[in-house]
Amino acid sequence: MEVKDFIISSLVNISKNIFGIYFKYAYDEVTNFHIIEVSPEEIRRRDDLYMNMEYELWESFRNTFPNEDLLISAPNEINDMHNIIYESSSSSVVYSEPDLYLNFSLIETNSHNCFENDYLLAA
Amino acid sequence: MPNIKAKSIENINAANLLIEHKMFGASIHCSYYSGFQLSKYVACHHLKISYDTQDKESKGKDSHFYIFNLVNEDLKKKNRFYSNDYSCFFQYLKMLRRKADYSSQITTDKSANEAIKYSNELQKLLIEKYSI
Repeated sequence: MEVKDFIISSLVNISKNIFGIYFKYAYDEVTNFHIIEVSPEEIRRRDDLYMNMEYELWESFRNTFPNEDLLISAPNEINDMHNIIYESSSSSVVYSEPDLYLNFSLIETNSHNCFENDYLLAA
Repeated sequence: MPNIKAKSIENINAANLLIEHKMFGASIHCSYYSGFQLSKYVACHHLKISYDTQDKESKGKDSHFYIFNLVNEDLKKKNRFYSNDYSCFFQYLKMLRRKADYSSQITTDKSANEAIKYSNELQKLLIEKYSI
């Protein structure tokens, strides 16, 4: 799998599991860094499920692509995000029905395409 | 005080001085090395891998990644979330140094200040977790 596909696939997987998370992924051609910006901070550094998934992403990336560089951080204006590759945000609505379903939409921008996926998950 | 730790402190002090004199690229270089040298210090004094062994084992490899990896592996054993922060801080410094040292772009005061911030964060993490 190509490095960019690997990262996008990982971000899609995290988005499906973490409601309310926002990702922006760009490739900085000056430094050859893959940069992933994550927000909000309440999830990035306070949500154990997300932090475990971030840990797994760091580990699998280093093992799979030892010659590539990755940065996962909060949004920062010093990051060069001009060469955007992927962007997604997921939002959640919890219905108070007896069988409690979670319905959320994942809005993704992949290069020049923007598409919206709806997911219905049993809680 | 061990030489490497003293060098780490000297470099972060130099990074601040260089910003005062508007030498932003050189400041980032010092911020990076301050964090790297404290990582080497941890590898020697807390992981018990002597500086000689570090030099021998990293010969012919990416010596900076070798040091990063030693410390990162140990932090993971303490708490895997420490590794997330260490990776973020170390990679930020690496990215900013690469841009400052090797690209033709002008280095801004904002980037130099961010490099000092991440170097300080990295050092704070190591000082706390290894009771330095």
